[in-house]
Amino acid sequence: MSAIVHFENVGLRYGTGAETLSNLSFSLAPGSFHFVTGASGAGKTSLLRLVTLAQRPSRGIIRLFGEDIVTLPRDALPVVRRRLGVVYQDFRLIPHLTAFENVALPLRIMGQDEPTIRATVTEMLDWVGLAPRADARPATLSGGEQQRVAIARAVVARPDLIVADEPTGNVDPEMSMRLFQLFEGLNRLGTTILVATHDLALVARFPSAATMHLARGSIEDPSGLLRYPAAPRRAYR
Amino acid sequence: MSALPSDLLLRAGRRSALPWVIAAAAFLMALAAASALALGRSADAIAANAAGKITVSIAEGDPARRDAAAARALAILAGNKLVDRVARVDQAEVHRLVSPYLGADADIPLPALIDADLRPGVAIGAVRTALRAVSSARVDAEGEALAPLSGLIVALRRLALVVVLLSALVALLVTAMVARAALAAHAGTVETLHGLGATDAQLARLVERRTAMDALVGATLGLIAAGGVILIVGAHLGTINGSTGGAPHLPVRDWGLLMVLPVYLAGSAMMATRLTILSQLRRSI
Ligand SMILES: Nc1ncnc2c1ncn2[C@@H]1O[C@H](COP(=O)(O)OP(=O)(O)OP(=O)(O)O)[C@@H](O)[C@H]1O
Ligand SMILES: [Mg+2]
Repeated sequence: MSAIVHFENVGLRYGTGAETLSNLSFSLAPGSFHFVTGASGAGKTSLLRLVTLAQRPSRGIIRLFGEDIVTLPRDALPVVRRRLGVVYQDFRLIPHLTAFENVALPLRIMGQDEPTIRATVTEMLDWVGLAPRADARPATLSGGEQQRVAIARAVVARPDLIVADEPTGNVDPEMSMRLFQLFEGLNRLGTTILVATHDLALVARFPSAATMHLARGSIEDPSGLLRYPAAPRRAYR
Repeated sequence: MSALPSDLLLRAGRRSALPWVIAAAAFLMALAAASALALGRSADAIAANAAGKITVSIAEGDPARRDAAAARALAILAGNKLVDRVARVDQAEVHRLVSPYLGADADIPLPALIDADLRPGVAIGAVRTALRAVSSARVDAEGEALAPLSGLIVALRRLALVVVLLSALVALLVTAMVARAALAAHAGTVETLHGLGATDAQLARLVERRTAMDALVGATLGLIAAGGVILIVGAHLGTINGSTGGAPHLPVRDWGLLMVLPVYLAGSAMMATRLTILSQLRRSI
């Protein structure tokens, strides 16, 4: 199996200004764990938007799961998106749905049956410590609780690739460690993980993860390791 | 397979004005359709009654001369191939016809009347030429007298059909606007659902089922109101106009056609919603 995510000379320009991202070239091997770091405004969210098919690039080649998503027709995008689990920086919970229903959404979109959904979502909420708040609406949850609902929603359908934008920006250090242990556990099961964060202390606690540093829209990759990654650490499922 | 929560893009309990707009459109549509059907029936009845019918009237003050002239006209008509079924109207019947207007015992000279049906292809002018010998004879076609009325009925009927089409169009446009507004009001939710892998069809289904229900409820209300009006108007016209064959009342078959209206409106509202949403969503990535 080739790379899960492959970028080749990708550029992104919003409107007519200068390129927000330029000449991005990297590959994420199946089962790898990557951090994206960089100052605020460096383009982390923009990069993740390209990976999650929220945005098409202005130039370059992007392949996801081996599919060329630049030329992929619109109708084929949902199938690719269902293999992704995304934690948005601003959570994007549906305000009028309960925590339970928010987490259940990916399963409902995939058309799973009700008993499976009940069991899976309940287990997931338990895992992020929100079982007692299953019936709460997002507005009545704290920022950290909302973030955990967003993480539960991103991982509930067991995606092949998890993309998280500042997934621990609103939680205390202890919860942040727990959530990362959740990511690590999924990573050990073969899920590829890409996390954008400012939190360099957190990055330092996961020495096995690779780091992609963005500065003014470009990746610093002096060794070329991001561009030509070593063989996958584990066989892809 | 479990469905997406139905209140994702249209919040439960927050009713739109759609049922009322559709009710108004259905009300107008039903009235206009009923008018068109009834007018069509009247026009047909008038045309059938009048087709080829002529009346020869012979006005003479002196009854003896009048009867002689009538006999001559009758003989002329019977002796050529211009008309079928030619017969003099019994003078007592002529009396009965005019008595409501002149009083039963009015003592005024009445004309003799001869009814006849033109043979197909024969123009009324030929009959007039043939009867030139009877100077007191006057030939009228029933169709001629009714022609302006027929023209009016045809025009009214076209107008009614235009109202039917316009109402249907308004219902569709309003439905499309409601669908577009639902998408705009929930742009964030739509983007999130897309991000989670929802297809355009799944999103369209969220709105179209509700729209169809709204349209069905609204159209049924509109139809019930229109049905009441049609019955009341029909009853009034029946008492005024009971003698005329073309009185505008609706037979069962036409009521059946009107019943199809809510189903049609619900179906077309659903299609309009689906097409609107799919075309709007195609603009996103
Ligand atoms: N939709 C947009 N239209 C125009 N410019 C944008 C848009 N989104 C982001 N930008 C610009 O692109 C640059 C990169 O933004 P981005 O959100 O990717 O940064 P970031 O690294 O995620 O920052 P942060 O750490 O604050 O989240 C910024 O200068 C930002 O203003
Ligand atoms: Mg960001």
